[in-house]
Amino acid sequence: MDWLTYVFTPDDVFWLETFVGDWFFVIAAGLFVVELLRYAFKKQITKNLLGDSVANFVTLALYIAIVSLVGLAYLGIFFYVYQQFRVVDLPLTLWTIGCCIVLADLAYYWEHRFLHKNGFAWATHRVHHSSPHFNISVAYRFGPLDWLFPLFFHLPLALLGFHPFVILLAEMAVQVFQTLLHTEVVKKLPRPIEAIFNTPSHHRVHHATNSQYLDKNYAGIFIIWDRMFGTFAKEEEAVRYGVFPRINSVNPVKIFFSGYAKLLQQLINAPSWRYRWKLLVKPPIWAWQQEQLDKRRH
Amino acid sequence: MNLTQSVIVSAFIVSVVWSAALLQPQIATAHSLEEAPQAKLVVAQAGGQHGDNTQKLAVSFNAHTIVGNSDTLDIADVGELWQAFNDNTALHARLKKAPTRVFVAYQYFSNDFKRARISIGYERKIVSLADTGFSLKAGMHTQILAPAKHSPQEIEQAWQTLDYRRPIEQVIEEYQLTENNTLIASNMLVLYGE
Repeated sequence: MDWLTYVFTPDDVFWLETFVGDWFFVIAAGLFVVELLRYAFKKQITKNLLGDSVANFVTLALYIAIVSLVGLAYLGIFFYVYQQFRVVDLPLTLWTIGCCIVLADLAYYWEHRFLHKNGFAWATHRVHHSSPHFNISVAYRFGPLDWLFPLFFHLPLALLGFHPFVILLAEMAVQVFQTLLHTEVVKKLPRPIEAIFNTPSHHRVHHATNSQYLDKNYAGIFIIWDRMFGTFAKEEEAVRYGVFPRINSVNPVKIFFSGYAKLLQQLINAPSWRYRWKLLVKPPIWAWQQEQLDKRRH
Repeated sequence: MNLTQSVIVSAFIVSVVWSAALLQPQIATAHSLEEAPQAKLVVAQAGGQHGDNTQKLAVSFNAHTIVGNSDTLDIADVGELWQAFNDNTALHARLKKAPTRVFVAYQYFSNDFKRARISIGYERKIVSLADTGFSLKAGMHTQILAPAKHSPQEIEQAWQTLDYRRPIEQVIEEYQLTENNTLIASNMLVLYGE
């Protein structure tokens, strides 16, 4: 069991995070080729599908461009909090990394739930949900502020004594795991796996617009959080993907900014400042309900 | 489960997992060095102690860089620096492996040899993310105590054998440890100036 408590250097951890992150993208690209072959075999390749997939990778590039500008500051905040305020020193061991992954996954659950329940946050996360398709390229469909919200939910880990590079590695593990879930190739996995882990089936439910599937299955790695906190739904009927209103575009720039463009339009047209505040803080469904009420009045 | 209950359960889960991280088996970190030396220098008054005139072995000491705690203080208060070193959890968390040697270096003595710049630390190569550390001067040192298990009284008496008529550039106390943090031997070297 010594391998669990072997002490790594922060450089080791950072190298591992970069290595896994970079090579996983190569693996994901390979899996996407397999999915395309499957689409071709089933005669489901369309211009819209290909355009949507290309747009997904362009949003990834746009996202990386933003992160390259803010990344140092982002990391700096983690290091500042860690160096100044951490309550204990946790060694850089696999044991610590394992514990951090569990806590980062729990943090991700709450962050993801917040993204669905807050108007301002939904505006960026909406981009990821806006694709009418579901394949591995959708995993790389990012919104302009997707980098911002993890900060608030993962910063407490630095206070608890987890080194920023360990937190980064744990966040990456949670994201990389979910990348594999964006597929229709895998139907259902064995029951013990479906019971504990997030799976393609669970994540299809999360991306669904079927009314019984809305705001369900927020998990990253472990579906047990959803089961525990009452946000779980099992895949039992065919899933329809996308958001309302539909984007109907494969223009990556339009897709990337669609969430905040819509929010801005709603803010401009709002009847009062109180309404504007609610647009920012209330769940996105609140705005939809107000629009339905407004239509009925007129 | 409603939102409040979910948040409370989450807080409980965080505390459980965090406790598991805190309670992991630790490597030997030399936190509490057995028989932490409390070397007290009996002040060598000017014209007082002249040192032990018996022949001492000349030992070549290579340049070392150590990482730990350093301060300028009365040599009689070296115990405070030992305490600070033992309490330096940030340092001990960065150890790549169980240390086998701890160095104490006394440099930049005051004229009356009451104060010095004292540094206590591990070799830089076993500490990850090490800062610049403290340099120990290389050179032909005079061995005051050969490597053996010496009592604190013997170390204290060894200080009295230094030749204070000569400029003293550096005194090194080296403590050798087992992997279980047990002191097995110590030795003492002095670098006289020219």
